[in-house]
Amino acid sequence: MALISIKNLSIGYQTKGGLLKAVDNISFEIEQGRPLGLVGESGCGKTTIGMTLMGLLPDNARILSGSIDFQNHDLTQLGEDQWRKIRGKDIAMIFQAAMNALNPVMRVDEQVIEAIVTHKPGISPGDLDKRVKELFDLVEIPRIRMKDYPHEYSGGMKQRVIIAMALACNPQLIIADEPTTALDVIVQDQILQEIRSLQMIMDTGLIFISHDIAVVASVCRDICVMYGGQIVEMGTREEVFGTPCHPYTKTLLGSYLSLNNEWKVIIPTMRKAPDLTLKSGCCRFAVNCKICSNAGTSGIPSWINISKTHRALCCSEGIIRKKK
Amino acid sequence: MRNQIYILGKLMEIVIIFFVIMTVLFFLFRLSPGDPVSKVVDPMLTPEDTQYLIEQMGLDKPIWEQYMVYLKNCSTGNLGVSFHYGEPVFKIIKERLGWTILLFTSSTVLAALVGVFLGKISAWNKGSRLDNILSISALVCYTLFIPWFALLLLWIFGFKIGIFPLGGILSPELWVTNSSWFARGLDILHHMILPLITLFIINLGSYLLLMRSSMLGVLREDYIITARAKGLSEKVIRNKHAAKNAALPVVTSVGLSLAFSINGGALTEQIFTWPGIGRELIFAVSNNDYPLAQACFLLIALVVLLANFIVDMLYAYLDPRITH
Ligand SMILES: Nc1ncnc2c1ncn2[C@@H]1O[C@H](COP(=O)(O)OP(=O)(O)OP(=O)(O)O)[C@@H](O)[C@H]1O
Ligand SMILES: [Mg+2]
Repeated sequence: MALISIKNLSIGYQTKGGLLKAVDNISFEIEQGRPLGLVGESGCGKTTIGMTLMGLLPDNARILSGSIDFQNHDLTQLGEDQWRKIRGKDIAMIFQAAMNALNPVMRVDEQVIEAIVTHKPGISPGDLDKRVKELFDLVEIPRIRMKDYPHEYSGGMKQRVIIAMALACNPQLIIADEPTTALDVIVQDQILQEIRSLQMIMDTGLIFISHDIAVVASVCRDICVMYGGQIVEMGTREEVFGTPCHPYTKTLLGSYLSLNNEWKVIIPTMRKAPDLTLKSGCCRFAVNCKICSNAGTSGIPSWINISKTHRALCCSEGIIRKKK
Repeated sequence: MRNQIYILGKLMEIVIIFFVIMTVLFFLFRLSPGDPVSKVVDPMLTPEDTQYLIEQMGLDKPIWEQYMVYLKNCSTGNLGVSFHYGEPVFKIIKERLGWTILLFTSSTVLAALVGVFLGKISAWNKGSRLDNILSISALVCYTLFIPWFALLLLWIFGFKIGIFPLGGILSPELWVTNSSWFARGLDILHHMILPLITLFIINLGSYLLLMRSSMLGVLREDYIITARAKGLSEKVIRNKHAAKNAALPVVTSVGLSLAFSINGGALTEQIFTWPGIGRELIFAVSNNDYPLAQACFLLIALVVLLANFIVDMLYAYLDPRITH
């Protein structure tokens, strides 16, 4: 059984220009111990999904439809009090290693302690101390640095603390939202190693969000490619990156890997931003898609199964199958 | 050790700034049109006394020698003799200083504490009715015309209702009888309430608005999301994570605003006949009592400098990022 399963989820932001459908009718499942990667360009709704799974959407966001099943609860129906019991305990989030993801006026160990005590108010001082040390050992921060303030840490160390806080209560699902984006390449690599090995040791569920295909490919077994709030292709790492089917996936890979000529045809010279106000169910990539403009398709895509695990959302089944 | 050096440096800074202020004051008073003797020596004195004072202050010498004498006199607390009181200025000022410090410190600390508290509530409930009421009231406080407000208070509570005295610091009967310290303290408090309220209200607005905007900024910081993601309660997030960080700029502004609140303080002291430095200053200026005015200016400068020093120390204690 899946650890968490998301069905037909749509999320909108109320803005001055009307309702922005940042996430449109997406469905996916996460198995325990099988990291899932969400890739896609900036603004495609990755963080919105992560925040939804934490119950931390901003005030102007609304879940328009769909369900999120987790431990026999529908997370979309939870109130703030129920969320507070899940957040940090069953589902934890690792944020981008931004400069100030840690409170600057609190000692680092206090911030980790807080993450434990919030969900285990009755823990004895001895056990607490043991657990904190365990966590610092786990993320390989020397114990003598525990009592430092965040500004005394390097970016990589800060990110390790954030990981330690996420692991504090042994969550079943960890959402890592661009956890290495703000770090330099060497540290990025160390943190990825850390996340990979911790995920393996703890055998948790992991959603790894990034716009960096190489990073996602190194951590995740399953991949969901997003464009303009829709998942356009999903499958195992090998399927999606080895034999990409959706024109957008090819574009995405093309912008990272050296291109073969066939793919280049698909990449339009001018890229238009996806229209998030579009009606639900319309292909948001159509404006940029050579297939659509050549073949004059309906613009209403459907899921095309390529293998048992590999599928793509496209208007033109014939071309997808042929390209494969 | 580094702390001591820092403190020493700060103190040196104060000495230098004070020295500059002393110099500026000296030249301001000497270079304004008119006979210097008439500004430093009481015109009502006998010729012998005048001669004695002229020699003591070197008024018959060139200006730079006068300056040296002035510096020497200042450093020994010999600030001349008041025209009006016929007493050494130093002695007069010494008696007034305590009252001003009492009134200013209590009103500033009170206003800062209440301002921080209300600003916090206001920002936390941004856009609510409460927020609107608080912000608008703060703006009104901020723009109040001090004499008008002070007189209004005096008229309502001192005159119409008559629950507070019209001025002074102690009821006459307590001067003459051998009353206890406690009774005197209470009576002073009773006299202090109206001027205290005046200064409190005037300061409150700016502290509230500052805390509100600072808090709104902090609430957008990443560490607030981190705190949320741990599953902390709203109260803990608000008080422990947000308010502590948001209050830091307010602490700084307490030191800065002190200098600006001197004139308001002087007017308040004047209206409530509070025997402080501010009132003495107004008196000295309107009666051409130059030595007294000069001494008041010097002392006010010194108090503001020292207050800023204390605030600096407090800030360094509160914000671990400040390292010395
Ligand atoms: N609070 C908000 N109000 C209105 N629109 C928002 C809000 N937050 C996000 N959006 C919009 O929703 C869309 C998805 O945003 P989201 O942050 O989920 O993207 P993302 O994939 O995480 O991008 P990035 O890679 O840049 O982090 C974007 O178009 C964004 O402009
Ligand atoms: Mg994002």
